[in-house]
Amino acid sequence: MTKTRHYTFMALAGLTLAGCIYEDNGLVFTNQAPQVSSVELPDQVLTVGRPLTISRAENLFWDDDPLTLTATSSDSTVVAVSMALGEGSYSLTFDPRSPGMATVSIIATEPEGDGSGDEQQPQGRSVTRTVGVTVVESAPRRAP
Amino acid sequence: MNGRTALIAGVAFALQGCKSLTDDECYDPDFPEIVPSDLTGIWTGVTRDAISIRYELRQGRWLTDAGRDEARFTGTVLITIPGPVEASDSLSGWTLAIPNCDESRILRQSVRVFAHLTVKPTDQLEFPLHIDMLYGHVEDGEIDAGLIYNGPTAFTFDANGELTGVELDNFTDTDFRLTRGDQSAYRTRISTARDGVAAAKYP
Repeated sequence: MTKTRHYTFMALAGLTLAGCIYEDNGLVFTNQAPQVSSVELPDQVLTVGRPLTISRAENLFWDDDPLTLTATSSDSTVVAVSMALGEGSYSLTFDPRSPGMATVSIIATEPEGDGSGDEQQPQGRSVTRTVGVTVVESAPRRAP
Repeated sequence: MNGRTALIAGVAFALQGCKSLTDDECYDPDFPEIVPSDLTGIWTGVTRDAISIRYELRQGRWLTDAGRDEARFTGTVLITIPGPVEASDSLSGWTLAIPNCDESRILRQSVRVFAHLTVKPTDQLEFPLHIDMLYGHVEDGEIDAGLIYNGPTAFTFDANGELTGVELDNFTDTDFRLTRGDQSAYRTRISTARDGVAAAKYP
């Protein structure tokens, strides 16, 4: 093999390997599961009868796909929760009903995709974040 | 070549070498000479047209490291979020001045300031807030910066002054700009936020 042919062979081998690596790196385009975002929502202390709404609740999560948000309470007699969608944004409402403690789970779910198994498609995966809620009795109002 | 000629040639060569190592604008006679600014004092800025941030910076002494001048900040940050709700805490950060190769003037002065606060709209509720000012540049007495914001962006109160809602967001404001002092625009925007959103809490 002449030196020129040798170098040509090496160059072609390099290109081929690079192509293989590129193919392997196709994972870059794999659809990512939803994740909890860096927006913090710590445990809350709420007062009976004073609901609190967290607007733009979708910011609690991160994903390239549109997410569907739902919320549940471990004890809806202590705090009930509801999730509303309006103008592309979610609002999460805590409705504190009686003194006690409960855990609220906020679930974000990506679309199901087309079911083809294509890794670029979402697959209906979910991620959950929880908030501890302590509900206290209403403090007596001060006299005016 | 005698010693004197060699010295002149050496200096000329060194200067030429210096010039080749730096941006051409370093030697542009129209390029204004800049010295590192002492950023001690009050700086205010507004993001999202409604959230006002007031930094009180205390700049430490300049330290030179690897040809760069660096000074640390301490101080406080005060933020007013529509509601309005105010929060303040300590801050940290630094400013970095990159000198020209002849060390007679500053090519660029950068600023970064970090503040992690806890916003308490009521006695019971707490929301973490992270405001990180990134890659600010001191220009014409202003700091042209970017801001990463992560936390509450608005609060709502009912007619009795009770908190009913909080908006959470994370965003990057690439047009964030700080000016020295308590600027009138800052006060105007705060006033607008207060009058428009929080009449219930501040009747």
